[in-house]
Parts: sequence; structure tokens; C-alpha cells
Amino acid sequence: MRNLLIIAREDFMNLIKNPMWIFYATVFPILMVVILGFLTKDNYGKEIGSYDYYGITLILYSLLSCGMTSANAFMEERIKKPNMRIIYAPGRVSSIFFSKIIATFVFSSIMHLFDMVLLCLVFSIHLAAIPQMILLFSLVELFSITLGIMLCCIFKTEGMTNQILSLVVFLISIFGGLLFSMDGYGEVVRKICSLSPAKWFSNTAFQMIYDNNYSTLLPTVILLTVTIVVMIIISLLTFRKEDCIC
Amino acid sequence: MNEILEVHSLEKSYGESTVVNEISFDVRKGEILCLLGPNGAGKSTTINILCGILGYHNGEIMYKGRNVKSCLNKFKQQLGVVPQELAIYEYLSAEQNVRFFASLYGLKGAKLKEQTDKALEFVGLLERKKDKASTYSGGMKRRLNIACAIAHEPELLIMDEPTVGIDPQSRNHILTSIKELSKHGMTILYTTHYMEEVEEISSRILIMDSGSIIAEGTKESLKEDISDERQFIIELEEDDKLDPDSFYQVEGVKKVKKKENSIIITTLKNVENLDKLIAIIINSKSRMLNIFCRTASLENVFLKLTGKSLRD
Repeated sequence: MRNLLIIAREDFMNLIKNPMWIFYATVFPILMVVILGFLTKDNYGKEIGSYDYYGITLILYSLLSCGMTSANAFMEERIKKPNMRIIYAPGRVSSIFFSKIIATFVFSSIMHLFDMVLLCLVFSIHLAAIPQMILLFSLVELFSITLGIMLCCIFKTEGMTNQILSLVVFLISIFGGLLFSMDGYGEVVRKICSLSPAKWFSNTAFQMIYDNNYSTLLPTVILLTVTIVVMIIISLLTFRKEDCIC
Repeated sequence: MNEILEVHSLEKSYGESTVVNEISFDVRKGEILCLLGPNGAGKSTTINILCGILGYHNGEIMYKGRNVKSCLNKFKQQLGVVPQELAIYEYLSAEQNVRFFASLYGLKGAKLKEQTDKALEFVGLLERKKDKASTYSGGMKRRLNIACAIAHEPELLIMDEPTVGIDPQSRNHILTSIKELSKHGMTILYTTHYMEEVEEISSRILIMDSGSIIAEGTKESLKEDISDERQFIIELEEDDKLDPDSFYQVEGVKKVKKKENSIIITTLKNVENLDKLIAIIINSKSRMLNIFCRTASLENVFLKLTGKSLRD
């Protein structure tokens, strides 16, 4: 346990010192909210403005992209070699990827919390049901981080993991209406879009904020939790120490 | 008990191919055991198995009489590894690197600081401990790689080609440090391709090829056992007319070669014939300036055992 925390702290420091990841987790989503919010402000009503919509959906998009951060923290070339020493040291081998999950989760949570506070203060984005929203966002983030780690364990490289992740995140975000609403494209498209997990997450968030409706929160939380546990089990089964040999 | 580590009938295969083939050896307390072998001999696989990074199919590894599997963490606590690759965080300083890796072995507080400084001083990096590893030269990074492995003062240090691609000064520093560590009681298992390093530091040598151990002993005993020849190099005055073929009449002489003003005579080691060779020179009224004897080098032994064909 001590080693897990030592490694996680080092991984966190690695992430926090990396300007690219700070930009990707803070400036990028805010910039996207500002640009898309401004360009589409006339298309939205008074109750839910464009900034209100994109303030939630693009943060969800950013949360879903956290898998790339965890994959980088796990198998980036300059990290991969020192990982060998962690294997040599006493302690559980699984510490190596649990530490990446913890570090990326803490890092991304801080960055996205900053994003949300800034969006609420500067763009007056409407937010309600804050504890439930934190729970939902945290689980989405953990889901994405664990997905990144699991793909690394399966494919053994950061490059392959990021290629797959970026495609998957892009598709579920498009169909989930995170980048633009797909509701106006007919019944068939709407049904296809309802299969996207991103759609469930955004629907759950909007229902909680605007309708005070928490009915979909519990199934979403259960689904995310089960998926996270399954992905951790797959990671435990597929991770091999020899993958750390450079 | 003199043996720190005992390896019994260790076997590792990848599919049909056996890369480590029932090898057995021991590592004795305080010695520098050098593991030699051509590319693909199975050295790195063996090292990775011992470090716990690779599994194995058959055999047993005993640490101080106990199966490593039953005391894995205790064994790892006493193990330091210097991998062939630089396993350091380039974006951290030398001090941060050593502190981080040493803390994984339970060191903390004042003891951690003391051991970190001690390890950095040992490898000659104390004065630049605050500098990022990315600013270091290749040799300095290699030394930092060693410092990260010794800060927790392991009983057994495994070094996998730690001097690859560095300047002679850094190599000399590393070899001196290794001998120093051995003097202080650390046991070292060392792999390299450089014969002169083995000549300089080894207490014992294991030679591996095609997954098997094909020879074992001290450098002296290997040279003695493997090579049945020795060479006499006789230096004569310039323009000496001594016929090299006249030496073939002496018993044991296998080959005679003239090179500039020297004659190189290869003869069987177990035939005492030096007096007869000198008699030929005296009888021919040649003037001998110098004579010396050369036995087989470790490289000759290595090539004789593993063959001269190229390995991929």
C-alpha cells in the first residue's frame, strides 16, 4: 500500500508538470465551450443556453478523453523504462497500473473541477444537484481512465491504445450529441444515438440539473461501476510483467 | 552457507523454442560472477527470470536455501538490478530518481536522505544531484542507473551490460565502483560482451550458449582447461636469416609464423620444449633480443567454446 501511494504520487507529479496534459484538461475544454457556445448561441433557448449545454457536454467529452492521459501515464516511452524498476521492487505488480489510475484520477479531477468552477463563474453555466453531478462525473472519469489502462494492458503500447481510444471517444461523443445535438436528424438516428453511453451520461446530467429527476442516476452509476470493475479485472488478467521489459 | 542464490535446472521456452535449457549454477557470497555469451545465448532471459520479471517453466531458484517463490518480497528487498536500458526518469533530478526508487524498498526520512547521498557520492554524481537526468551525459546516466540500484544496499546486485556505449572514463569509474562494492561484501552477477571487463573484475565466469551453460570457472581455470596451446614470441635482430621452418623439428610445435623481426611459435602447452627452441636459435648464430610466452586470452576461450560464426 505504501509503495502504491509513493508511485501514484510520482505519477501525479509527472502529469502535473506536463504542460500538454494541463492544457488538454483545462484550456482545451474551456476553449471548446467558448467557441461552440458562442457559435451556436442563437440556436438555444432561454432555459438552456448554448453555454449551459456545452458546459456539460464538453466537460463530459473531456472526461471521456481521460483514457489517453492514463495510457500516457502508464506506457509513455519515458515512463515505461522506469516501470521496470517498479517491477523489481518488493510489492504487488498490480501497483503499477493502480497507481496510474489513482494519479490520473486525482489529476483529472482537479483539472475538471477547475474547469467547472471557471465555467460557472465566468459563463454563469447553470449547475444543480452538485453532489450527484460530482458522483456522475467522477465515475465517467474513472471509466475512461480504466478503459485507457485496460487497452494498454491488452495492446501493450500507448500508441495503439490512443488510436483506438480517440476513435471510440469521438464516435460515442458524436452519437451522444456531445459535440452537436443529433436529435433533429430523425427517429432512426435518434435510436442509434440512444445506444451511445455518452448520451446516457448527458441525459442523466441534464435530467438532474433541469428536471430534478434522479431516476437514471442509479442505473448509470451501477452500469459505470460494474464496467469499471470488469475492466480492472481484465487489466489484472492481461497485464504481464514482461511487457515492462524495454 | 556460502551460496546466496542457487539455480537448479531452470528452463524457459517460448512455444517450441527453448531459450533457457535446464541451467544450474550458484552465486556465492561476495563474488563477482560474470555471465558471458553471444547474442541470443539466453543471458538476458536468465537475468530477467532471476529479477522476477519473467516466469519460468521448470526448475527452482533458491535464495539462501529457500525457494524464491516462497519469499519473493524478502528476496526482492535484497536485490538490486541495473538493467541494460536506462531505467531512470529523465525529467527528474538524480537525487529525486534515487530517492524515489530507494523509497520503494522501505527507506524513509533521514535514512533515505543518507542512503541517497551515499549512492550518489559512490557513483560520483553528488555534486550534480540537483540537475535533471536529461542534462547528463550517457556515462552519467549509466552511473545514475547504478545509483538507483544500490541505494537500498542490496545483498545481491544484478548488472546487465551496464557499460554499453559509454566513454572509457565512465567505464573505468563503473568497473572500479563494482570492485569496491564487492570489497564491501556485495555479491554481483554481471553480464557483458567486453572480455577485458571480465578479465578485470570477475571472480568466476559462466559461459552460456544456446540456452545452456557450456563452461564455468575462474578466468585462469577456463584458460587452462579450454586451451591446449601456448605461443612463444621470439624477437630477433633485424635482417636475421633464421629459417622459421627449422622449429618444426621440435616436439609439440604446431605452427610457426614470421612477422617482421619476430617469430611466433604455437606449441602444445603440455610439452616442455622451450630449451630446444632456444637451442635452435643459438645454433643458427641468431641474436635473440626478447622472448615472451602468451597463453590463450579469454576471448580465444570464448570463441573456441561458442564458435566464430556470426550470431543474430
